[in-house]
Amino acid sequence: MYKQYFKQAVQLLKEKPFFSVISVLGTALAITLIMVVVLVYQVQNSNYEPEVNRGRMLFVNTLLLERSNGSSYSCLWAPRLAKECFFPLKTPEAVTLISTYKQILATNTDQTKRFKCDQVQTDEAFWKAFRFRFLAGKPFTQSDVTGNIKQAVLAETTARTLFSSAKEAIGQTVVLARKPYTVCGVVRDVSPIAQNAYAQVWIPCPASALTEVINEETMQGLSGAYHVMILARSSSDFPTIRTEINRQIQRENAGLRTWKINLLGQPDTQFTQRLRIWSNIALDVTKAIRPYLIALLIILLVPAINLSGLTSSGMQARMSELGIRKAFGATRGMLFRQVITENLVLTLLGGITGLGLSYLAIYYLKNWLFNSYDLAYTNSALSLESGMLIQPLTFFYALLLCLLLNLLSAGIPAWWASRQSIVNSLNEK
Amino acid sequence: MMIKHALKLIWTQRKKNGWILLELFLVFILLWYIVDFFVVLAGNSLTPQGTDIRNTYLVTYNMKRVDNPGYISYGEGSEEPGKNFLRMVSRIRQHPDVEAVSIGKNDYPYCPSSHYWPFQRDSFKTGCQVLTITPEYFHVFKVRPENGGSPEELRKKPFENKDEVILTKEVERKLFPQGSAIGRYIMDNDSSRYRVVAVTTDIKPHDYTRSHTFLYKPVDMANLLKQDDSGLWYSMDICIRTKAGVSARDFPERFKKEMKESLAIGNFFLTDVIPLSKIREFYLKSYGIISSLQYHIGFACFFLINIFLGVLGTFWLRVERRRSEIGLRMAVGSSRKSVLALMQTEGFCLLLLASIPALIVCINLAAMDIMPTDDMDFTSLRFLTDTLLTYLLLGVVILFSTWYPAHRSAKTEPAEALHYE
Repeated sequence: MYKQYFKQAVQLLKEKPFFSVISVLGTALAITLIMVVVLVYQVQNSNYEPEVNRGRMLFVNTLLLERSNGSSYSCLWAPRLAKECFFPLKTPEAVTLISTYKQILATNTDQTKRFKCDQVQTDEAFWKAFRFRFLAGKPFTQSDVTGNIKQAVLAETTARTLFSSAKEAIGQTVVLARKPYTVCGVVRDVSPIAQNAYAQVWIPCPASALTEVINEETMQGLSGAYHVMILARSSSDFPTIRTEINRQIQRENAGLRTWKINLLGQPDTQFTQRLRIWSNIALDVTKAIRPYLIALLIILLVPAINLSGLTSSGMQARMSELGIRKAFGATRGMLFRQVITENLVLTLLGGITGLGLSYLAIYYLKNWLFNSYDLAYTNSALSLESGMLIQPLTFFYALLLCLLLNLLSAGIPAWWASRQSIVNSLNEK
Repeated sequence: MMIKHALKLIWTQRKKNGWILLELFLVFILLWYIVDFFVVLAGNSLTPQGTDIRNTYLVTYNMKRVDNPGYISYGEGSEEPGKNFLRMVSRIRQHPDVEAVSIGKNDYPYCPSSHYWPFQRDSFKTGCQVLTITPEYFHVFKVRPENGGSPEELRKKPFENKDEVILTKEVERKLFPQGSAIGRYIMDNDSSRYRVVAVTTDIKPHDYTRSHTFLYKPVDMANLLKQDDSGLWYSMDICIRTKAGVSARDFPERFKKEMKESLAIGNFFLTDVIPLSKIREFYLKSYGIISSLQYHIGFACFFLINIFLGVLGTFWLRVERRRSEIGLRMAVGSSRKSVLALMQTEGFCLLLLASIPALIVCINLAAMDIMPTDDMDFTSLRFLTDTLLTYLLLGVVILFSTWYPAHRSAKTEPAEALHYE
């Protein structure tokens, strides 16, 4: 039975090519747009190298220091304060400090090769929280950090530019911002889209920063350039970690004289940290998502109305045919299913086109779609990798979308058509 | 006459017109909302910025750290770091291409960081973005006093003591709604008093928003001399304006080459010369203004394409079914052009019909304060411009999308069309 509907649908397509093209285009447009949104969401929130643990990570990116007279100071973390607040936590698997990236000049020792690149300072736990592909060597260790041993990990391009190959770079001296470091490891390049882990050079956070004296006048030891990222053993630990953090912050606040720390609802999950725009206002997640949901609704609704109009106009012409079917015993339900199925063929065609277009759109518009405050200054171009885009759920979402659109656009005309009395249908011209 | 005819046609086929009317209704409202965004943008970009960043540059410098070769350790309380910094500034001033130099505490147009303090006068309160600068800043960025005079006038005002401040017009409006602020006092949260020595024209943080409240304070020179290298490096920035006629293309590289040696003073050394236009680019990108613009354009195109396809498809099908009617018209002498004109009139009538309830919704949106007013007040001019532009856009789309079906139908021979049944 469905096979017959399918054959008939293809026949209809051939009979009315122009009308079918418009329908397919209209569907493809809507699906392209929605799939772009889905793909962007995927890239920002699902796991891929090196950020393979996004699902079980928490982020404390900023810090609001408040004073009793009402003034406040929003900034990033200084290592000393972050150490006091987060290192004593017992529930997480790892806690790491990562500085914001800074463009520096990297050269080899005789200055013959130079490379302007983005540098980040971090600690040993960083390599546990993210899974990097080491082409040669290994990450720096905790003893490197505390012993102030100047080891550096380079990204592949950095190593190739300065030392001609990843393997050759190991053990060599690289001069970063006029200071010498030994290359202990080389990793595959990381796209800036993986914002949490991105850099082109990683060096240990200076040991002195972890022990500097907190001065509440000059903000030394309080305000710095670091983010805090926490790896939980599992996402079910999140509530426990939050409680632990709040207790630790309270303890720390008791020891501070002028300033009080306010986390503004942090730690964030990967999803909520992307939504946070202002560093001095608490995040209302529902409010932040609302414009996106409304936009999605509109993107679905307008083409659905469009297609409904087209379908129902197209239906007028076939009323006599449907009337004959009814006269020969077709039930309302059968007629309804027939219209829906025929429309489904058009929708699926539109869906496949739309999905293809959405991948093209993501590729060509990536600079616009993935740019944000944090990425405005990166040195390397935004690159998309297949691991980010091809995830098992993508195609499932696309199919679901097609079915939804099909129902929305053909449902009402189909229901209406199936209810027409036989005489009216037969008489309809 | 044709309009009456078109309306009659629409009425007799009202059931079939339902969908397209609904779509026009919805898209009118959505498009109106998007057009509003562009009207605000365009409207704001027409008002003066207040600062002029052409031919201005940020001169960045760095300092040697303790473990760098050639590091000079100044004792605590030494004034040498401050003096070195000022030596750098005066050498920059002596460069033949430099017209003016100003220093500030991370305060220049489009600076990524900002300081906000609350201020009050009697019962009036407002928050101000505070810029701590030297008087030459007004020359570098061509900031003018409110009466339209030259930046030189501002430079000459007393602007050295800690309590002397200069306000922008917007602050004067907020704190002194009845009169002039000059010569009067305002207070901050810690109850320190400040005397207003001048008021400038309105200044906008960027082109696409309204004027903001800015307050200028003088750099405390005595304090500057007490700072050490890091204190200076973390806070002080240097901005320059080049003389008229200096080419922007090679100036940064040339300046860096020429001044590299003379600007290596104490532990400071020159790192870069960045045109303010580049900093403005970063600012707009990082505040998401560019991407917001692109999203709005994207959505507008999306809606317009949908309407195009919808009207095209609907009229196409209608044409197919009305072949006999069209044939009849043509047989009775109606020209091809008038067939097209009738279709387009029908299309416009549909638009008009759908726009009436749509406009009611739009008026309500405006009345319920849903329309964003961060960047511009919602005036009747704004409403009118939004509405007219929306009609224009949709009208053009309908013009094009009715053209092809009408053209195709008008091509058929009358006899053939009459035969079609």
